[in-house]
Amino acid sequence: MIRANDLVSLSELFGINEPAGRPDHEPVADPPGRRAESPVRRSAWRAGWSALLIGSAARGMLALLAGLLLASLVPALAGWHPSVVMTGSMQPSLRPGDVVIARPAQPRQLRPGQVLLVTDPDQPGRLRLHRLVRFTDDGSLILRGDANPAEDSSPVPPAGMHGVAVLRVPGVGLPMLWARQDRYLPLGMAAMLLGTLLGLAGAYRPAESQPPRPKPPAQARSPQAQPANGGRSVRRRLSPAVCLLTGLAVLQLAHPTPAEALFAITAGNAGDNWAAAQYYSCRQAVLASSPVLYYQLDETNGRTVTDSSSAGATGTYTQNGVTRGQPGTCNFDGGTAVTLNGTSGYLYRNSQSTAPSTFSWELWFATSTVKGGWLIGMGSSQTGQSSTTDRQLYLTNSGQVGFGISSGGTKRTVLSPASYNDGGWHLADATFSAGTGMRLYLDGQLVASNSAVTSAQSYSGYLRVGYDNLTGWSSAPTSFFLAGSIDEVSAYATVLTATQIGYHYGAGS
Amino acid sequence: MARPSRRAARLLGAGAAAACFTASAAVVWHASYSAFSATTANPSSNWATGSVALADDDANTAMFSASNLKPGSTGSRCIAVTSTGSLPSAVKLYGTGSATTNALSSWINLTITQGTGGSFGSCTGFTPQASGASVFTGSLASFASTATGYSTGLGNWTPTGSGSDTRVFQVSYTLDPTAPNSTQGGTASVGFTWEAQNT
Repeated sequence: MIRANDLVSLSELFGINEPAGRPDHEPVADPPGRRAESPVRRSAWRAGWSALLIGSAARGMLALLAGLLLASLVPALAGWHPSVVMTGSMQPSLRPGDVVIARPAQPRQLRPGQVLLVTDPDQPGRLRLHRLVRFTDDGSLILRGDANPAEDSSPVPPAGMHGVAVLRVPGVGLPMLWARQDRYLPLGMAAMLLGTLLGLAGAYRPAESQPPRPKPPAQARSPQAQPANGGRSVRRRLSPAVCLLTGLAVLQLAHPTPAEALFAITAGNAGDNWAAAQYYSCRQAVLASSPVLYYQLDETNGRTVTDSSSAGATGTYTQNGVTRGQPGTCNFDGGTAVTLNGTSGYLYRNSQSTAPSTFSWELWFATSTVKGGWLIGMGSSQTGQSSTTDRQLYLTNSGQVGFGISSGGTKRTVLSPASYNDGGWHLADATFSAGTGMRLYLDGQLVASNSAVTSAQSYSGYLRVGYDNLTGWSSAPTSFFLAGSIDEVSAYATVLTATQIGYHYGAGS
Repeated sequence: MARPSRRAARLLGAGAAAACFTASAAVVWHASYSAFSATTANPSSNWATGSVALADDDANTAMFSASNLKPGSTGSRCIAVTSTGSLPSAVKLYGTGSATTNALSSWINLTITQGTGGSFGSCTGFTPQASGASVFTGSLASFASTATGYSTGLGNWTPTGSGSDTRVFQVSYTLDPTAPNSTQGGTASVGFTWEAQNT
C-alpha cells in the first residue's frame, strides 16, 4: 500500500496547504508560529511563471517515468517476460538496470544476432540474457555476451529458451539492482529525487485557488463540499503520484525477474597429452619383430645363454669375465643384464651360420669405457680373435658407435656423430640389405647410413658379443674387449624399420 | 511580471506531461532498436560496472606432452591462474577436448591440488592450502567425464573482485602401476579450462 501520509507530509514540505480528509487524526489548528509569515508572498510566487515552469518540468519528468513504467509493465499482460539486467556483459547494448522484455518464441524462429532470455545452463535458478551466435548440431544454442571475449562455454538446450528480447526500457530497473546489491545510497537518492519531483509537480498554484486561511475544521472534514480548495488539488496531485508509486512498486517487487548478462572468461591449458609406450615389455617388443636370436641375458649362473626366440640359437658365456644378474634397463620385464670386465668376458653363439645378406642386430649397452670394444657382429672363429670379421657394431675410444661391413674387399664403416660412453643405457641397432644399404640407429634414431654398400662378403662364422678382432676398421679402439653392461641382444633376418626400432627403444628406456 | 493565465498554465502543465510521455515511447523504441537490431556489437572495453578477468601463466604451452609412458611413469606441473576482475566471481575447473585410445585415460591417475607459490615454469615453492587443498583425485577419464563444463566444474575459488587474486594449481599424473598391456600404445589428451563467471 502507498502510505498517503508520507505524501501529504511531503506536500506540506513544499508549502502545500493542509490536506483535507486525513483519515487518522483530527485536524487541528496550525500552531500559531508555523505559518505566520507572509502567506501572501508565497502564494504570489506559486502563482507566477517560475512556479509554473518548474511544476511543468517536474510533471514532464514524472510523465516520462510513467511512460517507461507502462512500457515495462504492459507487455507482461500479454505474457511477455520482463526482466532486469543485473550485470554488464551485454554492454553497450544493454546496461545493468535496464528492463528487457522478452517475447516468447519457438526455437525454430530464432536466428543468430537475437538477444535471448534463457535459463542459465551453469548456475541453477538464474536467467541469462545473451546474444545468439549459432546452433550446435543437436539444436542447442550457443550464446555470447557482447562484452565477453568468447562464446559461453555451455550450450543452452532449446527447452531452456524463454524468449527473444524485443523491448528495452533503459534504467527503470535500477532501484531493483541497487536493492539487490545493498546499495542504499543511490536507492535513497532516487527516492528523494522522486519525492522532490512529486512535490515540485504541484509548485504552481493559480492565485484564486489559494485556500482561505485559517481553515474551518468543518470544511476540512468534508472536502467534497469544497469546490476549489487545496484539499482537492492535493488529491488531484496525489492520484498520479499513487499510480506512479504503485507502478514502481509493482515493477520492482512483483514482476521482472533478474537476468544476468553474465560475464564469463576462461583461461586454460589446452592440448595436454599423454602417450603410452607401444610396448611396456622389451620381450614383447622384440618378439613382435620375429627375431632369429634373442638373448635376454637373464641367467644368474651357468655358462649357457638362453635363446628366447623360437630359433633355439643357444649361446655360451666365457668362463671368466662375465658378471650375471646385474641391473638391466627393461624394468617392466624384471630381468637382469650381464657385465663384461673388458679383459676376458664375452659370449658367442654355439652354432656356425652363414653370414646373412639381410640382417639386423640389436643390443642395449651401458659403458663408461674410453678404450672402446666390440659390441656385436660376425667372426669366423667361435672364440679368440677371428681372422675374418664384419657386420659388426663397435665402440671407438671416444665412445662413438661404428657399424662395419666388408664389401668387395673393402672395410666400409658408418660412424655415429655422438658418443655414448656416458654410463647410461643405450640401444644400438644395425640393419643391412642390398636394397637399403647400411643403417645405424642409436636410441631409436637413425644416426648414420650408407645406401651405396649393397653387398657383404660371404663366409661362415659365429655371432659374437663383447669381443672380436677389430684390426683395420675405422677408428679401431684400443681394446677389442668391451668393458660394460649389455642386455637384450637380438638378431633378425629382416631389416627392422625405424618404427619397430622405436618400439624396442620405447620399451626399454 | 504578469502571472500566467489559467489557460497558459493548463496548456503548459498538460503539454509537458504529454510530450514527455510521448518521449518515453521514443526512448523505449530507440533503446530497443539499438540493442536488438540483429547486429553483433563489438566487445566493449569500457567497464563502467565491472567485469571478470582471468589469465594464466602458461603462455599457451601445454603442461604435459608425455610420451613413452610405462606403468609407474609420473609427472607434475604447476600453473598459476590470476583473477583481476572487478566483480565477485566463482572460478571452476573443467576438462575440454578429451580423447583417449586403448582406454589409457582410465589408467592415468590425476591429482590436482590448489595452493600458492610456484609457477608454470617450476613448482618450486608451491605450498598446498592448509585445508581444502585437493581439487581432484581420480583417473583422467573420470575428470574428463565428470567435470565437463562450468556447472559441473571443480573448485571453490571465489575471487572477491577487489584486486588481483592468484591461485596456483599443481597437476600431477601417474600411469597406474597395474595398467594392463591392453593400454600399450594408447593415448590420452585433455585441456584444463578455468572459467570465471560473475556471481
